Amino acid sequence: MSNCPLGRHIIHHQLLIFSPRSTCLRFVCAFEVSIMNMRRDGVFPEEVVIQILARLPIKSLFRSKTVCKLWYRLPSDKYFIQLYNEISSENSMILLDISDASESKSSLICVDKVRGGSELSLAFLNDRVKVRASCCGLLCCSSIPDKGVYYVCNPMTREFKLLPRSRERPVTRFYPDGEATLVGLACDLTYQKFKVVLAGYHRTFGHRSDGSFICLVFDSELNKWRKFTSFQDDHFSHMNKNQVVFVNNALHWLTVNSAYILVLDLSCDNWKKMQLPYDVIYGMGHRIYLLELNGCLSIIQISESWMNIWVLNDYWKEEWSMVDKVSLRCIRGMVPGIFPISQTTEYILLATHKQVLVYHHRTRIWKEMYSVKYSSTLPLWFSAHAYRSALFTCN
Amino acid sequence: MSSPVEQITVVSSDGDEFKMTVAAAMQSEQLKQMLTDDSISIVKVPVENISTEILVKVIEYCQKHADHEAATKANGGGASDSEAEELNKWDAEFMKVDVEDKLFHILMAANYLEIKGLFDLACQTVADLIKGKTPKQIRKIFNLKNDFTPEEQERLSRQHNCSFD
Repeated sequence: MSNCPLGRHIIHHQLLIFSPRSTCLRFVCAFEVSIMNMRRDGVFPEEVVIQILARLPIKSLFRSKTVCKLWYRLPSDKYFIQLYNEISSENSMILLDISDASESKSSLICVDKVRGGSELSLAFLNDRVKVRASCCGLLCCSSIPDKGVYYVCNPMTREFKLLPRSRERPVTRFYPDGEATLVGLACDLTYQKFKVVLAGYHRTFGHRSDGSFICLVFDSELNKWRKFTSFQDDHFSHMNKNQVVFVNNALHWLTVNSAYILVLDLSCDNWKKMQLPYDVIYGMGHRIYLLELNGCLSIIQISESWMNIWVLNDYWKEEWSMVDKVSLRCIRGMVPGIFPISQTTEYILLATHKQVLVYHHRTRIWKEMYSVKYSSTLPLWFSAHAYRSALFTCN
Repeated sequence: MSSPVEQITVVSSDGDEFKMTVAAAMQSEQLKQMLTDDSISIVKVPVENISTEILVKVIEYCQKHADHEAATKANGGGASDSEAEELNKWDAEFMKVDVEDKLFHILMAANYLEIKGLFDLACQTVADLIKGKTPKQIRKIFNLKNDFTPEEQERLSRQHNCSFD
C-alpha cells in the first residue's frame, strides 16, 4: 500500500495471514483502500484498525463500539468475525467451575496462558447451572434446580439460548445425578450454528441398563430436537465426559478402558468406534486423554516421566503421529495428579487438584497460571473444560 | 541474479541511507518480493513514508529476527529454550517506546513493508494500550471523530445501556 499524495485511485491491499489450520499463506480478504481513508481521518486506515480490534478481549471490543460508527459495525461484520475467531483460536484457555454447592450462583474462572485466572459470570442466565460441554466459544449448561433444562451461551458476549424442552422423557431416569451420560456441543463457527447432543441409557429403577443408548440431538437451525436409538454399553469416566472433541462434523469421546474412541457422526446420526493404535494406547503412557489440536484429534499420554502428544493427521486413514515428547522432570511431584485440558501448537494447559499450569513447547518452560488458595472439595480438573473466546451468536 | 547480493540499501523519507543484510530484508514480504524478482536489480530502495527514526527501529527488529532464524537453522531446526524465551523478552522490550506516536508509526511501517511478526506484535501492543480506555480516550488516541448524531447516541444509550464517553 503506497502513499500516493497525488490523484485519487483505488488501491488494492491484500493482507496475508497465516492460518493456524493450514501450512500455507492464505489470502483472507482483499481490501480496497480509497485514498480518502488515508486523509488523516484517524491515525490508521480501516484495515489496520480491524487488525487491532481483532486482538481486543470481547468485553473491551464491545465497550469500544461507541467510539464511532465503523467500530460499532465491526463486531457484526462477517469478515471481522472470521478474523477475530481465527486470532482467538490461538489463545486456547481453560474454564474452571469453582462454585461451592452451597453458593447460589455459579463461579467460573477462565485461565489463559498470559493473564492467569479471571472471573467469568454466568449470572445473565438467571439460573444455577453446571457447565456440561464447551466448543468454539460456546458453552452448553444444564440447570441444577431444573432437571432437563439446558442452555447454550456465549459467556463473553452474554448471549444465550434456552433450549426448548425435548418432549422425550429424560434420557436417564434414575441415574445418580439425573443427568444425561454424555453431553456434546457441536459448533459451526462459519455459519454460526450449533447442535447439542444428549446421550444416555434408559434404565428402569433397580435394573441394569438394557444397552439401548438413546441419543437426543438439538439442531439450532431447525430449533428442534430429534431422537434416535442405538445399542452399546460403553463406560465413561468424568474426565472422558468432559473431554469431548468436535472435529470433522463428529463428536468424539474416549471410552474408559481407552481402547477406542466413540464417534457420533452428526451428518448421518451414526455411532462408530475408532480403534486406537497400540502405540497410542500402550506406548509408554499409563493414562491417556483426548484433546483437540488445530482442528485434529489429539491424544496425550502421561507416564511417570514423559508426556507424549499424538495427533491424528489423517482422519480417514486413521494415521496418528507423535508430535512431541515432553519430559516431566520439572514437575515430578505433580505428575500423578496432572491432567491436560487444552492445547495449541505452542503450549498445553494442564490442571491439577489446585493449580493450572502451562507448558510452552518452544521454550520448554512450565509456569503456574492459577491456583486456588482455599481447600476446595473438588479438584480443579474435575470440572475443567477447554475453552476459547469467540464471536458466536447463539440466538 | 548475476552476483549474489548480500546487502541492500534502504532510504528513509528523510533521505538517510541504511544498509540491511539480505537476511534481515527478507523479513519484509515487500522487500523479499523485490529481492527474489530477477528482473529487478536493486540498488537503493526508497521507503517514502518511513522516517529515519522509525526505519532504524524496523531494521533493528528485522536483523534480530533474521539472526534468530539463522541460529535456529544452525542448531538443526530447534531453537534452544533460552534463546526462544530471550527473543520473546527482546520483543517485549522492543515494543516499549516512550511515545505513542512512535508505536503507531512502527505499526504502519510494519504494515507497509509487510513484516508479519512486527505487525502482529505492534497490533497486539496497540490493542493492549486501548484495552481499559473509555471511548473518549480512544478517540483522542486514534484521532477519531464521534460520528454518531446526538439522537443516535440517546437511542443507543437507552437501548444498550452503553456510554459514549
